Amino acid sequence: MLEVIGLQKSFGGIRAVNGCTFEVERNTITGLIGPNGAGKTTVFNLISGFFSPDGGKIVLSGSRIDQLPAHRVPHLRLARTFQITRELSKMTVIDNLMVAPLDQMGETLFNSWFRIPSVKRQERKIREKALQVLEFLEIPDLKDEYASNLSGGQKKLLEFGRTMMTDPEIILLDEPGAGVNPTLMKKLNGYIERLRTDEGVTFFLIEHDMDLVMKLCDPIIVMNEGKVLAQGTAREIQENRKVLDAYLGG
Amino acid sequence: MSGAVGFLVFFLTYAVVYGILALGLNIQWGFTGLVNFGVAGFFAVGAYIAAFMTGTPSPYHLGGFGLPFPVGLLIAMGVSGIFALILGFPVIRLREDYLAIVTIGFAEIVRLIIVTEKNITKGPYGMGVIKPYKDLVPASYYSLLYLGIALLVLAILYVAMERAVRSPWGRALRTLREDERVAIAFGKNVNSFKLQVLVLGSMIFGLAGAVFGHFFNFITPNHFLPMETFLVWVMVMAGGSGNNIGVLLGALAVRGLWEGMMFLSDVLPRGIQIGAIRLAVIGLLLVLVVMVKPEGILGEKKTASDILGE
Repeated sequence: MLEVIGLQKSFGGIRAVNGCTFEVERNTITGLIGPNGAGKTTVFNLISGFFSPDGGKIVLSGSRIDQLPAHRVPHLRLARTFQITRELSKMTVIDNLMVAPLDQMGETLFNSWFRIPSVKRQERKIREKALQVLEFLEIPDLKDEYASNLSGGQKKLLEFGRTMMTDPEIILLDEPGAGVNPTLMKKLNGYIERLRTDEGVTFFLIEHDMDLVMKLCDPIIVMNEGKVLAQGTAREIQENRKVLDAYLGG
Repeated sequence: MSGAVGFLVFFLTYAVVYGILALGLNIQWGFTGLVNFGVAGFFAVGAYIAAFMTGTPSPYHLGGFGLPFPVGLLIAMGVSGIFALILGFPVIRLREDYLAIVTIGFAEIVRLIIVTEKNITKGPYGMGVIKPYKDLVPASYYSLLYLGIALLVLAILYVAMERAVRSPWGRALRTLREDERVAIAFGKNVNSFKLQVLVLGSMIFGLAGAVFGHFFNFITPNHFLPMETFLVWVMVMAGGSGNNIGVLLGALAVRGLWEGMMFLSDVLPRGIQIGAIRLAVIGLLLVLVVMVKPEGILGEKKTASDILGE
């Protein structure tokens, strides 16, 4: 589904990603772990087009995406969240969701002046979808709340919901568990599992909470110093000598 | 018309001109977060272009081409839009502060060209601008007719802008104002949206310039000093960024304060410059607004789009 081949990215003298190669298989929940500074978030930013790589290839569903402008990447049915939530604070929860769908007819000046019926029809569908997503995430009452008024956990849910709005085939989650309480985390796990089994969504996620990663992810990719150090099931990773050394600084 | 009514009509027409400017800056700054410090430049372009287009032929300046008033307005808007497009194309992908620097530079270049190119603009001597439809009413009522024309332009513009922003298009603008990276991550072509807004807003400044020229009937480069830009900024910030009614109220209030302070000269001790007091009071107003009510007189509407009728 998603192939990364020999990916390179430097910032000044620092080689953040240094020949990284791995594959995310369709319909898996693939975890990406590694010590701080291993290059995980940089890999995410390269995949989603926010950075352009210095070398290597990124192939999504058969087409190369590493030279695409960032706003074209979502059109290949990839959606992402951010490590620190980026809610649109002065907009309501439902507007935060409704802005997400791609190719909205109403997003041209001409169509906002001449509101032909198909623009309204699409808008109605988008609204229904947003209400469904809020229902799915069990926060329908928050729909008219300003996003800035949400709690940290609710903001995480909102970011997750926003990715659902685009009907993606693959979702990149950057630390979905950071700052989320255990109860909510359990719920979030449930949502991820349900989307994978019911809708066939592939997940690729960065996470520092090892319990969560070991329970949720298969396979797990371990990065260190810009390279892939190991890859395998939770058990294989836990027993891997190199991984232990990387984490414990051996 | 008596002196008091005449003054009121003059004041209101002037406020309408600034209301048009405020609507233009509101789409750029209020909804999209673009920092345009070159409002006065586009304002000047609109005023001079309309003057050239509608004026009678003269050997002392460009034109006039004797075109009808509405055609002059449209050409003034078009030329301002083209200037914005030329300016925006290279700089729109830069960070917002660079846009601020480039636009303020543009406005000053425009003003200095007007000062120096005497063969085109009559330079600092200023040039006359025709009174449109002046044969329709007796001369003493003309200013009232022109207030009506200006209000009509403002009303049409207001409806067009409300409809534009209360839509998925406006929702996308608010998104890129709040967080550009989110807009990109959800497939919005941010540079295209910004360029559209830069051009649209600048066309509105051009329209305001044309309406201003035909109202004053005489324009000089001194009408387009950087101060004009900052007055419009105060109107938008005080009235309520992101609320079209709010910025119109802001225009009325700031313009009212500006004109109203003229009456202070009767009570103030001799030797105090009213011009300096004006600036200080406007500055104080801005500080107060930012501290006490940062969202302005009227805040932004909560729901972005009204396309489903809310």
